[in-house]
Amino acid sequence: MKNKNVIVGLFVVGGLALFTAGMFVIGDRRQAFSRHVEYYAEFVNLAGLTNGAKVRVAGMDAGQVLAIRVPDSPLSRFRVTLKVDEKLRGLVRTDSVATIGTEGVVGDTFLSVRAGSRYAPAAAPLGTLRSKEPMELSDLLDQGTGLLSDVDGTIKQLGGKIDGALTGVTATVSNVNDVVVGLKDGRGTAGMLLRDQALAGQIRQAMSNVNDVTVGLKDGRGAAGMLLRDEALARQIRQAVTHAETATSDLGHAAGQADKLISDLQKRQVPKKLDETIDKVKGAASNIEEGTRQLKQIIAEVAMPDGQGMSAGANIRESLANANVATANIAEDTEALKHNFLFRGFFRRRGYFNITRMSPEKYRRDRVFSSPRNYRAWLAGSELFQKAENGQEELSQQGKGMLNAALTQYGDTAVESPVVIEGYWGGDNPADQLAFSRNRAILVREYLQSHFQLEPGNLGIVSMRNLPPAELGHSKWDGICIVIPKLAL
Amino acid sequence: MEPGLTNLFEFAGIVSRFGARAVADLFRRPFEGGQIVRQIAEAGWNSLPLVVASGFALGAVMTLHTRSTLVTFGAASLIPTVQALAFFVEIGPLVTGLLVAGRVGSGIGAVLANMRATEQIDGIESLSIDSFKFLVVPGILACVVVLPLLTLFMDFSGLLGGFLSEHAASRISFHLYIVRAFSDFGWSNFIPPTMKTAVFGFVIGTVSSYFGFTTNKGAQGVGQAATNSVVVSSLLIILTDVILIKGIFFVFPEGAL
Repeated sequence: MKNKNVIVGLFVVGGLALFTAGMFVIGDRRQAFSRHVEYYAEFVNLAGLTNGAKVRVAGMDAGQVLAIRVPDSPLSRFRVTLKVDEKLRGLVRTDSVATIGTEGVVGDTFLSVRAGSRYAPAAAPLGTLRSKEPMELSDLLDQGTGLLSDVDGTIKQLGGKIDGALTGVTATVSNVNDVVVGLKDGRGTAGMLLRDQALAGQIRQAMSNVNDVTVGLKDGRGAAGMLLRDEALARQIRQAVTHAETATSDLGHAAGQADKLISDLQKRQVPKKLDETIDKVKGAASNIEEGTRQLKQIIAEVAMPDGQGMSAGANIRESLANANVATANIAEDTEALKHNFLFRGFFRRRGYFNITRMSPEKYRRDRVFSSPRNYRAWLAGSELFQKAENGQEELSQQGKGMLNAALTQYGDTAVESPVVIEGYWGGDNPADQLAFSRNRAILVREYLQSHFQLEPGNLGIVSMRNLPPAELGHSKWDGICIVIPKLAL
Repeated sequence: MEPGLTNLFEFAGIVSRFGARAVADLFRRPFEGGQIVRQIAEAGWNSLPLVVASGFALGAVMTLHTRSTLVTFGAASLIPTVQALAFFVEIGPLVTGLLVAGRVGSGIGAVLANMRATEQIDGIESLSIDSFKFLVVPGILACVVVLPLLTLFMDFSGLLGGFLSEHAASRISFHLYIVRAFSDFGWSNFIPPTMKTAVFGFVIGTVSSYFGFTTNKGAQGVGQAATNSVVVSSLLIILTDVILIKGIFFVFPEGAL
């Protein structure tokens, strides 16, 4: 009996050991037993991403998709919750970009998070990562088809042009051929030159005539011959030359008068004055040169390498890099402190918390947000919104203008600081109040985010039904209130 | 209603009541601990060589076959994944069920029928021992416990066989083989398929015990009981498998991709 017990024990323990091994191998692959950090990413198109899909950080398996929140209108996007192994957390920075990828043509879809840059601070846990919309295979195919049809058109056009050119060349060649054949047959002037014996005889005769004329000229025959031989004509030419001499002496007189004019100008010391001015300009230029030289020297002194042989530029660059890293570290430490239970209360009081986790009731009583010192822009719903064709509310042109005015009033600060959008709905039905006030806040957030390119993390929304925080001069409100907390300004 | 159809429903009803009685008796004193241990040793330990050897051989053969197909598509790296998924999800549980039905089911049927024919069961009854509780319940319980464990042995020996065969072909390392084998594994590919074999065990135990326990044809009945046990329990295992897989897909929809 004892023997049987041992056998059964061995069998059962062996089986359970295999079961445990299986659990661990699969658990390890799905990273069920390691610590994780959660982030969010938002997409318009999920491209088939499902719950439990793999998450890769810089190409390494790092976790999985935990949840996908479906948007309630085309204005918002799918909100994907992803968990990333704590070991890879250092690679996830505020400038990391999340994309949806596919393993090969038939493979699974997965979420890929690109490693961020060195100087960006680490992304906070539960923060929303930047995202890039996925390129679907069908889009690629569409583009490919478009490209091919373009190429096809171009080739067709080119073919037509080459055809025309070839026809031209063929015509030219056949013309040349005709000409050559004509020449060979002695047709036309050139052909005649080549072939006609009678013409050759005429040319020879013409040459002998030319010879005769030349001999006549030599002998002083005819008008041209007379020019070469007549004495009276030579006398007349000499007289003409004398007249030309007289004209030249007149010119000499005119030149003497011009001389006088110039000496008069010299008497008035115009050149001297000009000289003085040029001297002065020279002096000024040398002063400028001296100044530039001194400036150069100063710059060279400043830019001279320091004790360790490091140039000033490099020093400044390194200081900036150090400052950047220090800031990132401080941000990380502060983030950690915020979650530490000893300091949590302090940070709550200072207003460092996640607004999405705050109920409207708590928000109304919060000292930071209900402070009368905050900048608030109260915008009436009747002016901001209009009914769209589908019966839902949408922002009107006038409303967009009002929002732009409200935000630009604070210039750059508003772009960098946290902005809270409170949504209000004036109706009496509590369900409507909740739904529509939230919808309004979402509409405004979408607009501000896309129009001013604001950081998603800086825009918070609260659906306030119809009750603003107390003591702000409005017992009820119907519309939107944009709040920029005082601490941010 | 057709007489054949009536007989079928009658048989289903009797076997179901037989199984229900066994479940009810399981929670009634006295618990036959010694009998249960003896049956687990018989059904489990003694089936181990058969299961491990067939798992190993099946794993090797499966890899050889999938290899020739997947290499054609340039997907040789998928071999471990395909092999492990096929083994853990379906081949392991089903083949183990059929093997155990052949080896253990026939044994239970023959032993009980023989005891019935030689009036040993009546002898036990005359000692005022509940023969059903003493002989049938431990057999069924042993099958339920043993089958998931045997399935695990089958799965892992199949994985080993697959690895050795693949290692011989492509010199793949053991670590890489394991990583690839489980790369697309979810919990739904491991726990539900393994646990469903407990149901197979219950089917084998109940059907075999029924045929052995209720025979009344003497020596001829022994042979008949053994044959019927194997045939009917094998058939029922495959039928329940269909229903169970549908059930698993319902609970774990991601397994049905």
